Amino acid sequence: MESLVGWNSRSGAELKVLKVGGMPRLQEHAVLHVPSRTLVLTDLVFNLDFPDGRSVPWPLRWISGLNTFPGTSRLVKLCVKDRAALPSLLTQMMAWDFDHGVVGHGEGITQNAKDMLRDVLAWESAAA
Amino acid sequence: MKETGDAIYFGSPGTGGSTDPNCVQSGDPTRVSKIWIRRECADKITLLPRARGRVLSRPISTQTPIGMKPIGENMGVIHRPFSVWGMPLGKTTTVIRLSDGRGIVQSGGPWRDEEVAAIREWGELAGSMEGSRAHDTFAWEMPAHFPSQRIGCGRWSRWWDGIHGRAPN
Repeated sequence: MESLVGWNSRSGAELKVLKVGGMPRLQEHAVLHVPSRTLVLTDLVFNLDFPDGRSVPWPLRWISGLNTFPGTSRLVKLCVKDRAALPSLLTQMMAWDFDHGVVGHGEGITQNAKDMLRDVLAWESAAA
Repeated sequence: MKETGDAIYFGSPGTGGSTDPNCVQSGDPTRVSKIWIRRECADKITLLPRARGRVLSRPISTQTPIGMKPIGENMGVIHRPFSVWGMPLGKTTTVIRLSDGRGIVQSGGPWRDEEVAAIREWGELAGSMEGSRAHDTFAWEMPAHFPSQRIGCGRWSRWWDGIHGRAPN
């Protein structure tokens, strides 16, 4: 597998990659595509599509710990091994300029992604 | 190998995506997502096994479950919808074409045949993506989540595929 070390310098200003520390099992990386101002996440945030009025099935609520989406799954939170690493991650991520978000599970976030993700990922700050 | 300019999956924002006649649009038109897939690729991809042990394995038709959704000119996602016991889970793989022709594929593992096919298709079309083959495309993959060697997700995936008569990944 291609190492991501040095990716930021190789891709120039077009792509930024940030390893989500503190969760070694997940090996999650946040990717910012600068031209489209899009942040790409994998499992850190779920945004499953439940239209208004349709409740989240209880097995999913139980497994994920989420009643609404977007949110961070309970399973992902259980993978956190170094809580102290998370707030700085959030700070770095929020310093990026993005307005759209793509997540590994669920719908893309088409506008105001930064504000939405800041709220969704507030648990990281609280976890420290 | 096709030229880079033949990478047809990407459309300009707001245009609804590719206008290439070799693509078919699918999915629910009322949704934001517009799913595209190359017509000649459609016969090669089958639907995923669904929950409750039933296999819905058939050629992709107008209900194409997987394909490329353009996001801007140089970015697209492959959304593989599936549900488990009514839970509309799904997996999104993001592909980004850099200005120098390289590509990056971002997703969590494990990868399945459908994603491999779609990514390979994109990689071949991208042309100048390093190597232009699926394995090279995977070389740009983010480190896989839940590596099978460690917690057995791949083992379960293979078991699931096995009982449904699918070839392992």
